[in-house]
Amino acid sequence: MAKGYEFISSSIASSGAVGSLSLTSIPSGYASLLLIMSLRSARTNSADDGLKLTFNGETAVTNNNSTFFYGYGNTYSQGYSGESGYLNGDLATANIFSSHEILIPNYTDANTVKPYLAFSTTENNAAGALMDVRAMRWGTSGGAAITRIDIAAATGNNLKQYSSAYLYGIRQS
Amino acid sequence: MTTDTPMVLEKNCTTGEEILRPFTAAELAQLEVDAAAYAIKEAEQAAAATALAALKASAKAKLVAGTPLTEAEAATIVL
Repeated sequence: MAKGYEFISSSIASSGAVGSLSLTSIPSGYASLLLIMSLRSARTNSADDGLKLTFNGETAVTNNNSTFFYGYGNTYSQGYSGESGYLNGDLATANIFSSHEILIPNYTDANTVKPYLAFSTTENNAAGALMDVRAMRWGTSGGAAITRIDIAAATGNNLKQYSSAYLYGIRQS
Repeated sequence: MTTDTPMVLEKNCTTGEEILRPFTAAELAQLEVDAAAYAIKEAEQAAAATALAALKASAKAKLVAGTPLTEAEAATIVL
């Protein structure tokens, strides 16, 4: 039985915008990881942006992809993508950040690909916001434990000041 | 995207050390590749959504008028 969340570390763009938030040297003593994020990109021509998560510096999209479902207002869509959801773009209401929760079980298992769940919702006190659920997987069969996570906007825009990521570990017993 | 060299805020989860550094050349190159791929994908998704909406509207209009639907139009409403 899981024993609850244990704070591991955080990365907060408190001094200004950054291209990416990176959590490195992630310890291996947990059953699962939980990544909680509050994000906003500097993309000026849209209220949303793609969320790009990279594990262990592996950038091949074919090794990091998802089946997703999202809703926007009264419409919805589904598909297949290399992104891990949507974050707020800079056209969204000022100073509003999107919310994200990423659950990564078995992140140290060297014998399987790493499945993970990604939930995200953009925030916009105007017309429309995205709610997105993704079942994802990273890695080829086998491979190393996840020790590094990079968080960035898929368009290459900066993550705005005060974007943040908090990493928690979940112990099994 | 920004024209300034983006920065990486790295946090070592074991030691707590935090480093702010510029993207490496390899990271910048990957950033460009990813951004270009995302732009293409976004355009394709937008075009597909527009086409589907038009197909649905056409199917609805034909249903109301009692005229035959194309197979593509029928596929938008038949489970």
